[in-house]
Amino acid sequence: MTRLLKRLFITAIATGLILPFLIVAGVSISAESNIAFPPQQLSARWYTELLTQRDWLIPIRNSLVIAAFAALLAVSIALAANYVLWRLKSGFGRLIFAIGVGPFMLPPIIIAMGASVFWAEMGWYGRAEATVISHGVFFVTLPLVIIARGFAALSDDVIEASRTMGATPLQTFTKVIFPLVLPYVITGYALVAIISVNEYLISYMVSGFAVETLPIRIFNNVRYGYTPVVASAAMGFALLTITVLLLLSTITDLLKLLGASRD
Amino acid sequence: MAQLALSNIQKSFGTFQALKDVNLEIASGEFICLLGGSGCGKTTLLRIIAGLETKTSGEMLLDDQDFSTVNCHQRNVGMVFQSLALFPHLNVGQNIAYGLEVRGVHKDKRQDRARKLLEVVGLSGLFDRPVSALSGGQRQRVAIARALAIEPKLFLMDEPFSALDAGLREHLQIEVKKLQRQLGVTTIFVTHDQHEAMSIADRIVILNEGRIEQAGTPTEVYAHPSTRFVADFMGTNNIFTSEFTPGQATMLDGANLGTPSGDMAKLSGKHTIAVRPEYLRLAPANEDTGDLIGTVNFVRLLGASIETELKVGERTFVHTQVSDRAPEFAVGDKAGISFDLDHAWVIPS
Amino acid sequence: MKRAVIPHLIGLFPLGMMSFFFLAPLAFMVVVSFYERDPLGFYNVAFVWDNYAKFFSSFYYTVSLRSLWSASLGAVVVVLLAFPAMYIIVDMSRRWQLFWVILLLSLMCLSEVIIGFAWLILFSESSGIPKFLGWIGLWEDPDSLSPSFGAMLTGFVTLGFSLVALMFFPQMAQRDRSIEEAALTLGTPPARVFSKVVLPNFLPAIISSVVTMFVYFLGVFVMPTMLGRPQDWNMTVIITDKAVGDANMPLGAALSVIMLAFTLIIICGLLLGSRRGRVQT
Repeated sequence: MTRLLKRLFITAIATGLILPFLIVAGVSISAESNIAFPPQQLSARWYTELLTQRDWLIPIRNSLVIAAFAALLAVSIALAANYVLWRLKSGFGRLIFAIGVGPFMLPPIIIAMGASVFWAEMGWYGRAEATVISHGVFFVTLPLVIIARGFAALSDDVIEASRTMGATPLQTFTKVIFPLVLPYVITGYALVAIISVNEYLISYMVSGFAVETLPIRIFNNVRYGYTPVVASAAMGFALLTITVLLLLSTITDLLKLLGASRD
Repeated sequence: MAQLALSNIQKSFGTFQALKDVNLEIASGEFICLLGGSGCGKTTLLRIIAGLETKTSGEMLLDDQDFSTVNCHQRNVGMVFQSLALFPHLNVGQNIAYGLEVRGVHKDKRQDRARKLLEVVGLSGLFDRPVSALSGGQRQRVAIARALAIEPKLFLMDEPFSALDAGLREHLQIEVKKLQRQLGVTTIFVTHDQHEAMSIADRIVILNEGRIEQAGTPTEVYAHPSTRFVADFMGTNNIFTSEFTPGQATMLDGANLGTPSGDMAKLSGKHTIAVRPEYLRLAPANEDTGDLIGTVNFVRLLGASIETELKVGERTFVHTQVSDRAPEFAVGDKAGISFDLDHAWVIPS
Repeated sequence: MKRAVIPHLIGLFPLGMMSFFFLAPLAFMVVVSFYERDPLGFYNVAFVWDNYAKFFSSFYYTVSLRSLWSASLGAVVVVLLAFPAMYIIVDMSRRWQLFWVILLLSLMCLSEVIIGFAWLILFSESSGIPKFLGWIGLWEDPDSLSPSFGAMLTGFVTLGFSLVALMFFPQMAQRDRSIEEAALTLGTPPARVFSKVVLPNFLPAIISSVVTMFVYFLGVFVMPTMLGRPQDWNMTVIITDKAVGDANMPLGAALSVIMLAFTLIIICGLLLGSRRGRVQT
């Protein structure tokens, strides 16, 4: 009885989370020009449009470039902060860590508004570089926490062993520490990259009018009358996200990474 | 109190057979230890008795009533878990009174009982303390009091002391034993530590790979192991096979062990015999005595005794002596090994 | 001691980046909130309270109230769904757990815009639930279900579900299951174990996730605009509208500062509360 209830509940939740995307998938392969489900005739024309038309290709390129650099920035900040915390185990390291957790605690609009006035004052308002830096700084929390797990798994003995064998701190870092935390770094990079690709509000408020990213393009399209090409863009997004996560799950133990320690 | 009879208990997890044909009768008021290494099935057996796990087949009778169809929460068994599993959101008194609360016992009555039990386990005064403020030993006592508060038919303990240091563990073993005798509750205690089992159990049940190897009083399993596994597990280190011929001297590796008497005199052919380390005698090596000549491999001081390990060819012998004098042999010395066959125990094959 | 110089120097990089690009913008936002609007550019340097004065009008009063209402309702609903779901998921086989983790991570990463759009389609007259209900005859004259308060709330819940679920995941998976077994052996009926033992044990975590979600939903922009009616719009929509649509950055900044202050008070309250809770237990 309780088993059945549990199963029903969990299936209902899964349906609620997945169903919207199944409908979008259906719409995206429909041949008709107005949004309709179920599709009467199948066609790949909306995907072709997505990948050939300039007004879709440019946002795609913008999003990918911003994501690649923003993730690099976020991961280097997170790696440095974690290294310092781990080496010093002092208030200095904890202070850096605490600031890094900050962006996650605040509503996105506050961060976006702050970034907006800041870049306006700096004269970079409307530039993609501004979005890169803001994304890199604001999405630092996730890699910070993930890489911290990597450093937590690093025992002091290993480092001391490396030192006693004559390695300099730099050699110890490049030959012992970095390889051991690398899976966490890669995971952090991938997650920031996909979150950045998907982010709307900050991109919109920092450089939205000049640098159109894919979420901005989709949002504008939905707001001012849309065609099924939006559905194909949404599906492209969803597929990209899931692919990256599946790839990640092959190089790291995602369950362990997220904190499940089941034997 | 209650008596428990298990017959032909089987348990499989998928293709893995955790318990194979377990038969065991536990008398009312008896203190049983389930002893064995990790994965031997001892915890599984305990969990089946508690109702946390269901058996694959077999029969389980409590006071001649079928027990296996009763739900866990209606079995009325008091269990102490390895992690203790105290409720972190409740204080000491609420933890102990919990079982009575879910049984609908009136508040005053259950608080009275909780206070009484707290006194029994020697913690009176800690009634309102949060459990996070207790020491390791105090938590143990609260867990024990909580399990006993429901006046259980069976008192089950799953390696409750494994996380404690040696001194405290010994202390609690004695306390639990006294408490159990005073209350007369039928108790099943799971452990992997043979010293713990010997010091508290009325009867030890040794499990190996899901089977009962031997069940008997501590003296029985210690002195007369019925299988080689039990002999190993209980620390009877000198186990070997030798050739018996009725009426003649028993030989081992060319050495004369003497002529057996009593039941052993009737044996013939190859038999496995075990000799406890304290029954070995060591003497300066002398070829003429016909003793086994061994080379001392290792000597270690174990507090009250000295343990000497010797090698005779590929065979290893362990000898212990009371450490009131300095070790007689050093590593590399040769020594003659002998013992009385009367002290040897034939392991049934 | 000399060895520690290099780590300190390395520490300057994250500290500098976070201070300059995260803390400084927030501080500068406070400064701008006192500036005057410049109809031709961004703002003129000044020191006026006008922007804050505007907040104390009936319009912003209504907007604030309905922001608080939708955010708190969304937070409670999402935790009410995610907590029992995680309780079930962590006991599934490894394979199913991985399925859920990837699903949740995908949803966490996926754009608000996409999730909003997906629900928009599902709620639409032409292709979603209304059409289906009309087709099976349960709804004679199907109409689009969005924009509406319910649609917006559905969007909130979908958006927050993955975050809450992933926050609960470690604690839930690592919890000592023998506590529930102990409750059973002590006589708790299986159906009551969840409410007698699991729920009270997780109460602090539940409260803090409700608060986290509340703060998060206060700052959500896409869901209200895509799925909500204008009378459902929250403060975030108004801020964005003022700052970008009307190019009135000082007003947007002032409203954000008020929200920031409110958020900080809530976070401090939560921290104090959890500290007091820890001292007690």
